Amino acid sequence: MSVIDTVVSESSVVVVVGSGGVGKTTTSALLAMHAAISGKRTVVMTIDPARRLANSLGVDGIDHEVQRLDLSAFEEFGVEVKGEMWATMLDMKSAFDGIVERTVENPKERDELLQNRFYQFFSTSLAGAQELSAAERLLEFAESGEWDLIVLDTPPTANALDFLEAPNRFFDALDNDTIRWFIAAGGKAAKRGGSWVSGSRGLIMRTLGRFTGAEFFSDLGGFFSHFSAVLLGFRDDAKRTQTLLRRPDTSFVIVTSPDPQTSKEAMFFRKRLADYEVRLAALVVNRVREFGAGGALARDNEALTDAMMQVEGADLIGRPIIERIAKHLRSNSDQLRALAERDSATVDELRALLPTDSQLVTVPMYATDVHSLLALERVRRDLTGREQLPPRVLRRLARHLA
Amino acid sequence: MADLFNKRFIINTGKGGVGKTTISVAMALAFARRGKRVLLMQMNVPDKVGAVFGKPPVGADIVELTDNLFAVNPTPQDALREYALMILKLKLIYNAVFENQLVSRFLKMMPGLPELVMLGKAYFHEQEKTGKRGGRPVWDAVIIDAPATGHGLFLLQIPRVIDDALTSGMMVEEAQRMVALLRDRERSTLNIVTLAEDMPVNETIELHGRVEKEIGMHVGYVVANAIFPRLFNGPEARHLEQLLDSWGDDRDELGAVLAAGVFRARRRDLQEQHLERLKYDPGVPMVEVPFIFEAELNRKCLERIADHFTEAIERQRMTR
Repeated sequence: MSVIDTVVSESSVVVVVGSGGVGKTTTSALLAMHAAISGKRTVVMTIDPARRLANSLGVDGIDHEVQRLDLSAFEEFGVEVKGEMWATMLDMKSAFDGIVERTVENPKERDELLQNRFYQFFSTSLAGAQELSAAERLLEFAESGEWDLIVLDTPPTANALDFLEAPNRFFDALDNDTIRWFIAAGGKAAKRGGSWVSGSRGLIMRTLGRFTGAEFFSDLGGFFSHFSAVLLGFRDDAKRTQTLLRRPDTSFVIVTSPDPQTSKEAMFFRKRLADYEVRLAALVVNRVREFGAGGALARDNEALTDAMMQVEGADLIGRPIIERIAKHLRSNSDQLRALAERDSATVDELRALLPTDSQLVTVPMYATDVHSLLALERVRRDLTGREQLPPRVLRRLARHLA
Repeated sequence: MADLFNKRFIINTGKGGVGKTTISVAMALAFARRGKRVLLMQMNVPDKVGAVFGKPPVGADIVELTDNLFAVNPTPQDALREYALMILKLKLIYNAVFENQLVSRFLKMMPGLPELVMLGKAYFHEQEKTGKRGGRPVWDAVIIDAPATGHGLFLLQIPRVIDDALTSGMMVEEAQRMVALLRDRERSTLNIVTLAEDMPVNETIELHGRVEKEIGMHVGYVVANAIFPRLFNGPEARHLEQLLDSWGDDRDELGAVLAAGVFRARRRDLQEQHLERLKYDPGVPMVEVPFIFEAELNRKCLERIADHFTEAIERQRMTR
């Protein structure tokens, strides 16, 4: 059984983290797809509408509503689909509004808050708001008991663990003392016409007021006095989410590319995950350039041309053209070999730095975009260590599906 | 309209992992080589630029990397401190207010504040003059290596958000001046860096629409990065496919060489399709930057990319 098989069979939650542009969304979708194929009722929570990906799975796009994706086409590849795959896209605003609706009971107060200009700004822009709403949705799904497996695709951030840490930082900053202080200071400032609040509090309000305008604090104070109830709701949920993320059946998967800078970031994430005491199950290295070296043949024009002339049909192309192609093939092999060697060195470094209980999976770079069903199936096979469909079968299927 | 080399405020953004920093440095180098005094501003990232020029990592202080090319990489805290001190003048007041524990905790969670002060710093340098009461501009151009798409867009929206959220105070005025600078199509421009692949191209098209519509900013160039130089022409690529087909699935020496050739030809074809898409949508001028096969980014690669910019912009000048 491959690492990925173990991850999907032994987990109820898989959290996929990594830098931007490494293929996190595609990897998350593939993990969910594989789990569904192996019989689980799976939902993938993505942060990207991933239109092309969604299209190849029979839907227009993925939005806030959970919807089922059709995997029946995979039967073309001799794959029996035993479970279900569902998908939803994380929408920060809807998640926040949902919490307000749950926590603020008075309908008038609720509407006021939803319309408040600060609320509208905070719910979409607050540092950590996206992470917070992802955590909320995860908790909602996990506690519903409707899913065998939840795959969570996280927002790309400079620090992949913002997802875990942002809610804490956020509560830290919004500590009740801070809010109370600003509500009080704002209230006083308003009462006394915006100035002449005495003492250090007065100096602070007047100084900050020069930058923001004095009304800002009284407006903000007003907002916070409503919003704090909502925040308390969040805080309680955040604690339960932290527990959920540390459960033994929650697995983290780091996705990276073999780019040296990106893999450095991946190793940084790894360390942070360990500090955080969550379980790293696998490190997926996407788009690894793997090319056979071609040996001595790739360094000798004459020998390469001779070898190519032996291939069936080469005589019809003719030696002069074959010779020209051979020359280009040589420089191509030189260039691509250098890339492949670099990637393989990076992968080795990554492997050496991984803890013994996590495993590394490499996925090669393909000549095509990974959006068609066929391409998805190829990556699924690579990701889960299954044998590839033979090239001849692939070509037949490609023609058939086109 | 002024071409890229006459712009003063240049923002480079695009999907994560497409090479924004490389492109930004190379672009700054192209400016510097034309004798323009240019400031490259990075947005609080682990610096990889200093090393390319044999210098220590770039941080909060402006450093000269090479003739006319300067760089800075501040944190939002640095930028906020600089700005507040400039306004308050008295360090004592700054300390009493901004270093106050409650205030600094509060400021840390203020959404948009880091973005505002970083953009504010860039704005300040665009305006900066040699004399106290005027003089020549200190910088001919400020080039910003902005965060990836989503966050980058938020950065540009923030002055307008501040303008909407506040009713008085200095920040409103600053925000209004920043909005005006971003919308000034003579002085400011935004370039989108992309790869010729499906997802980055989709993001480019979407971003272009939003920058024009929501920010009102001029989109100058799409920079298509990492384009494989073409090795095989159309018939050669077809012959290669045919040879690999008859050779079969065996990946011995010949099989490997042929497969690598087919990979190259197909990738290049794929890039071609996406470049073609980019020509129609967003339809702004495009610079194609060749794939760099070198093991690590060095001065020589940057010079080559800088040449591409210069040539592309000269070409565009001629055709107009």
